[in-house]
Amino acid sequence: MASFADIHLDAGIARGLQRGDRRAQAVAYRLLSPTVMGMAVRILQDEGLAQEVVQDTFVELIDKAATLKDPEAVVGWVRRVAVNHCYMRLRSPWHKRRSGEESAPEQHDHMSDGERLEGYRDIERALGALPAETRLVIWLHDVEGYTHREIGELTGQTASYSKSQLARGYAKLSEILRDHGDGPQTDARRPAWVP
Amino acid sequence: MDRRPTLEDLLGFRDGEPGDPGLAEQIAADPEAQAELERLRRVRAELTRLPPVTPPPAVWDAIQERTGGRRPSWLQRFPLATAATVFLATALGIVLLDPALSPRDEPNGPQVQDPVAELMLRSRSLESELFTRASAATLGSTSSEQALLYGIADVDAQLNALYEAGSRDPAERERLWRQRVALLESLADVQRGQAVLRPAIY
Repeated sequence: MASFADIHLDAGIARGLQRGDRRAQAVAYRLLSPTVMGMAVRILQDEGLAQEVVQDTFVELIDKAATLKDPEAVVGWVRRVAVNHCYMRLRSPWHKRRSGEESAPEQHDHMSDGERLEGYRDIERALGALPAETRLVIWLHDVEGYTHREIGELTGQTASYSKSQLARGYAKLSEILRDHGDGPQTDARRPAWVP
Repeated sequence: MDRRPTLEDLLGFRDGEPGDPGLAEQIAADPEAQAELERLRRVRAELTRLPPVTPPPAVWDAIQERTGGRRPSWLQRFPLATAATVFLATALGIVLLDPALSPRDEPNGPQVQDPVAELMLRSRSLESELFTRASAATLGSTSSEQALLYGIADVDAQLNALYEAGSRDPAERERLWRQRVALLESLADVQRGQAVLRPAIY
């Protein structure tokens, strides 16, 4: 996965964004949107919501690019805005209710012992079985390199809370990966964004 | 440390966080903890290897719709260039008015000693030629002109940043001014070429 830290946005493109140049906006979108979408879909586990996050993030980028003081900071800025949009959606009562109805562990409870998850699909689906906020913590910490303190600030909690969420998430991931390590892969339970 | 390492301990160790000083020895002496640590590293590696996901084309269409798909005029597209030009015109005015900085008249006629001042004069002369009322109407109508205008806007932004930062690097100033003049000259060449072609077309 290309995390945001792996993306280099040319300074000319960043300046083009500041000028409101449509071609620069298109280039920035092509470069950054798959990472924004990848992060949003894994955190939110909902392709429609993830597309909304991509849309809102880039609308904000295009609207506010002229006010960015440091063109070098565009990628970091996009990441921060995208994370905030993900978090806002996770906190929405609608999403909470929906997550509660579609309790992820149950999805895996009725997977047959014969189902096999292979390669990244194992981890993709195991991630989807975690509670939303635990997924957020794992993704931000392990993929995006956020510190526990930064996650605590984002979620209005403490660094200890983030640490315990990470440990809880890993315990659950271990359990799922151990339970579903055998049998053939079926497409029926594959998330839509998994090729 | 007199207890077995917890999952939180192992995650902290994996991530290089400061922890119990005896933790490393304890893990080294505990094959089960080592295996667990290895597994934690593997899971993180798998997470970071998850592929990016390309959004469907409709997302970009929606973004363009929300931000206004119409093409702004070239003056709107180069606000930095406009600001920079105002700033640079002021700077140029200061250079030309300051006897200590301006080009001096030498016995054999007007001579420019400072290469930056010379480039500034050339830049101003080219701009007067390019941005006349007649040519401004068509400027930026071709892709080659647009590319040159983008280049000039980039150089202006860099010059602006240099002056704002109070940089005294004469080599960098000269390099940027030289680049600006070269781009303006190319733009003037394109304009002249079009002026020659235009009567032939009609």
